Amino acid sequence: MADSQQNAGQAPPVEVHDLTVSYDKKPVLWNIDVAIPEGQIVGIIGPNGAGKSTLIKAMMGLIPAESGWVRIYGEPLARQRHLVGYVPQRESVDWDFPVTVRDVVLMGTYGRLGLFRRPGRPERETCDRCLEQVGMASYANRQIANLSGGQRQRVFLARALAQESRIYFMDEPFVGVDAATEAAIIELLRSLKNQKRTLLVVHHDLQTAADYFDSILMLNMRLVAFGPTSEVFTTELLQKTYGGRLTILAEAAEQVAGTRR
Amino acid sequence: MGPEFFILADATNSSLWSQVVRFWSFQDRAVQTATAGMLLLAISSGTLGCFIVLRRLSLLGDSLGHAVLPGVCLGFMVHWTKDPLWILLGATGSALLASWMIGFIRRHSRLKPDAIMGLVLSGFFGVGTVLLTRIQNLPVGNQSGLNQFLFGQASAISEQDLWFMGTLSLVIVSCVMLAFKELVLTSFDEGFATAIGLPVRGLHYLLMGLTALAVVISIQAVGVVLVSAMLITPAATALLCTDRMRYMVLIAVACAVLAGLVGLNLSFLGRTLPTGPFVVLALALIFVAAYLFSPRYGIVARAVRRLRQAQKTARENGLKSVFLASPHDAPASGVGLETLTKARREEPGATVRMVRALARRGWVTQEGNHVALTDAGLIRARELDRNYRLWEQFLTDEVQLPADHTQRDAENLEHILEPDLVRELEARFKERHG
Repeated sequence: MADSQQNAGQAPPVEVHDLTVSYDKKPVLWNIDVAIPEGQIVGIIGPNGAGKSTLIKAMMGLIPAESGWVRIYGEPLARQRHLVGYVPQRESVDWDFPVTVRDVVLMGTYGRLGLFRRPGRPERETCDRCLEQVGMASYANRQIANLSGGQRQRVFLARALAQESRIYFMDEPFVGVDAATEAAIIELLRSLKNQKRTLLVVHHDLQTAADYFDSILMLNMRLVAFGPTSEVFTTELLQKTYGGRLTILAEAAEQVAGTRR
Repeated sequence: MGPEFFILADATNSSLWSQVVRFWSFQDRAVQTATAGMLLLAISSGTLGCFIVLRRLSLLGDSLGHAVLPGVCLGFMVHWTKDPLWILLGATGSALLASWMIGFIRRHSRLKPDAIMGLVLSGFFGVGTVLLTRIQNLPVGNQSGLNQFLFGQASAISEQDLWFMGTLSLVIVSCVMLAFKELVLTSFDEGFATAIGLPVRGLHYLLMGLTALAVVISIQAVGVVLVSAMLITPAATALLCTDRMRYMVLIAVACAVLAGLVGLNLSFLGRTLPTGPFVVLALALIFVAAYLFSPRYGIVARAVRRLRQAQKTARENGLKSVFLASPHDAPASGVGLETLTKARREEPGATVRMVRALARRGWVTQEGNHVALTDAGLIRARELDRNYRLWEQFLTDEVQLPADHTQRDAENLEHILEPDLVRELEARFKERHG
């Protein structure tokens, strides 16, 4: 712990080296190299199928990498999981599951609690505070099926807040939410940033991208550009990211998959 | 038939009623053993079934149930006797082999899980049936009761079996209680569980292993063919009754216990009838009852809610028609019944009934042929009228529907708009129209 605290001073929150990831034997990300600076809101943008979700999942070790490595504050991920918070895509879970809003937010404290230990009063207090922060305190005892899209997103955010992490990975948090929720989310992200947290946000709305993010990572199966928004959010780089698929990479991926099946 | 079997069958000479009494007084040692076994397996499979159903692994439960048969036969063939230890080992072994095969075929073929499970389920069951037939045709005297593994016979549970069942149930229940929060989280959101470092794979195998154990302790009383019903039906019933995981487990266990006892009693009354089908029958009846009468998700409750909403809409439309037919400058002064009937374009009788319903509600008073709004009625009518206009305005302003498209929608929505949304609509209206 003392070690990682010390490293925190120098090493970047997330460092990715030569990361290649395959999905169902087909490479979807090629040789990604990037170091994310601390205390920024970083947008990950790119066309459909560019590997945006795959990138953050691989960074968190949810999908095994074919090659390359990921370090969190200079250490392998396995030792640093407690520093990493996650907001999955809303559609990734079954919202008919028999749990309440409070149950879901409490799940954010499970990583700290450790195996087999039950959440107690401190965890419930954390949970209530996080619900308050996203404006969902009055919904604590609701079954999650009865929530709107925006409310579900807020519940997932509250769960991530309950993780009390230093790095947050968020998969399309703005998709399908109402304007009020979108404003609330961006406000929340900014307040996290002010507390020196680092946020990586998968995003697909170019209209708002320049406004929301300090840095932007442009992705289309490989890293197209990464840097401060003012420098990389240019017509030229956007065209490079979105304009036409990289036929060579896509075809090579198909052929790699073919030889492995 | 084994000797322990006759203890129960003897009772069939006496009257049906006295047998019912004999069963439910639990004084008979054979009844006690069978009941204890049934309780143990009901608790185990009721608990695990909840996770199986929520993880959409119901078909896997069914596959494991069928897959234990060859193992049971092989276990019997070790000493050519119904030694519970070997039968247990054989059953567990073949359940594990089956689940490994399902995973293996899935990784190395283009087949989808449902086809693979169907394949493995029938394959194992076929092998098991062949072995069972072979054993029954052999000239050894000990195979009695082995065929009961197909459809279950609770009275064949020996006291030695009971010890095994008890130990395994204890293992199952304590594992689930210990890892409850982990099992719930991995079932709900596997990605998040992995991200926070939970041993997701380990928990999956734990659950599969425990399910195999639950199947093994169930086959004596319920039989391999129907054992999956013991996992799936109680959990499915419970899911129709509650929105909390904890209660779901408790309700599932209660259903399994109830069905187990009823099924046991029925098979006991009918001399040599197998237990499994009766237990499953009782489970199915409980499920149908929940499907019909569950307070939240039952179809009766849903129909009642729809009916109430329809009544509310009709009542509120009635109130609005009184409001609109009354003089605009003095709405509380009321309106004649005849005018109202004409405005509503209906039969006089319908108007009278409507007015009577409003009067019961305290919204109008009726004197002779004159109907007048009360204070409460006036408040509600104004509220409805305003909601209607707000919504209509919203549709014209922001959704930009042409005026002739807005009316129907507005009429439906004014009855269900919640206060929050009404405030939001008001704010938008003020923004646009000042």
